[in-house]
Amino acid sequence: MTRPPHSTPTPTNLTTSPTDRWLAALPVLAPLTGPAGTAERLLLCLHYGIDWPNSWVGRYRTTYWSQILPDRVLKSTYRANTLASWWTQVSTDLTSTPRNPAERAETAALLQADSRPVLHILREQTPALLLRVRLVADAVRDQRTAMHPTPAELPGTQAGVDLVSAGRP
Amino acid sequence: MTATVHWAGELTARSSIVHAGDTRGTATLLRRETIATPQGLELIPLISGNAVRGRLRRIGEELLRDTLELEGTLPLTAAYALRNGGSLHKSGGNPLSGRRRAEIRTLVPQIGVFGCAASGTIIDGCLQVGKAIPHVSETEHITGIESDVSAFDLVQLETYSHTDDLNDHAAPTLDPATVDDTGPADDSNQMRYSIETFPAGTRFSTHFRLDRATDLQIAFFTDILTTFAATGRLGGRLAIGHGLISLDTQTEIVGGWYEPLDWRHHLLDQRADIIDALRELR
Repeated sequence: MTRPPHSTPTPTNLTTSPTDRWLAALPVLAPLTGPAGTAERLLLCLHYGIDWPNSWVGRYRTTYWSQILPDRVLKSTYRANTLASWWTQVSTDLTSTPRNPAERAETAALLQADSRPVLHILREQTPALLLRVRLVADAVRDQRTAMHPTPAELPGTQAGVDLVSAGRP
Repeated sequence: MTATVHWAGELTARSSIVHAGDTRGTATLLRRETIATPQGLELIPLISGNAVRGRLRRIGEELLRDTLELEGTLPLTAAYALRNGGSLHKSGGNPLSGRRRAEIRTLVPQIGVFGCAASGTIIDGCLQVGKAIPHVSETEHITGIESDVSAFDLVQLETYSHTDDLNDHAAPTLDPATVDDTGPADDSNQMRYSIETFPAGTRFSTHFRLDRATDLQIAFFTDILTTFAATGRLGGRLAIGHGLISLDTQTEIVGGWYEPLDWRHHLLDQRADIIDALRELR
């Protein structure tokens, strides 16, 4: 009797980037490409890097999507000639830092893109881009909740309804 | 005889300049315009001709006011017309005739240069004022001035605090009857806000042009420019140190010719006629 060849399962998350995984949570919305795609992915990295428990942003969840995030994304584009400069300003302002090696690597790679067209889109299409980012964030949260519900988050419980209706980013 | 005179100007910010455009949260951003650059369209901050013209108008009004001792002599419409250009509204009666408009333009250099709105009509002036365009790489093709500084690296965000020290030991004692203790205990007026500015040292290109102006109007405006160049302010937040500028100009007579004139003595001889004409503005 021969042993079946040893095989090590290959986790799918090793072949996709963090932004690929987040975007995959909302398959109905095809990821943007080119400079717009870079802008979208940078905004996702920015959002997911925010230190919610310890930063000032956590105290402004109710206005995060409508004011805090769009204002700071836009303002930073007015004083940045490169993506690196823009990222430095906006990430410092929002206390956002990539959380793990994969996010750090992807953020650094995205910042290597040609700055001018990406900054142009960040400046001219801020609400439209952030609408997409919010949709993706909602989908990722819902997916995470569905896969790993806490007892309170089980569908049909009042706590689960409360979490969704509270608009938690 | 009239002349057309053009001044090419270079403004230098001696302190940072505020020129409000959009507001984002607690940040006041600079006014921006789309500029077609060789690399494509870009939003570039610049100072409007309206802002520059407004400062010049106020200098002119004060020069006129001081020369003719006009304080306390004019009705509201005339005062507004001189100071801020007036407003177009129904005033009752007939609008000024063309002849009367021409007479007021000739008699009152502030109106001849800047124009105004009064008596249900627009009286146009002979002055054109250019926008103040910063010397950055994105405007090289407009200003003719080379720069290795991008507009996106130039501007800065200055942060201010509004301090709420009413509960400090040195604060004035309040009348207890006026204190509302029912509100939240941490009801504070403390706030931080920021203003986007052009840094001190920024240079701008601009221009001024008098079209078919009289000797009186040219002499009057030359003094306005001299005053602006030496002690001018531009933009907002002057009370907290913003907006100091200096101005260098190059003069060119584009058409016609003019004779220098002592405009102060000229106007003093006609003070009564001038005040009568201004009182006609309704």
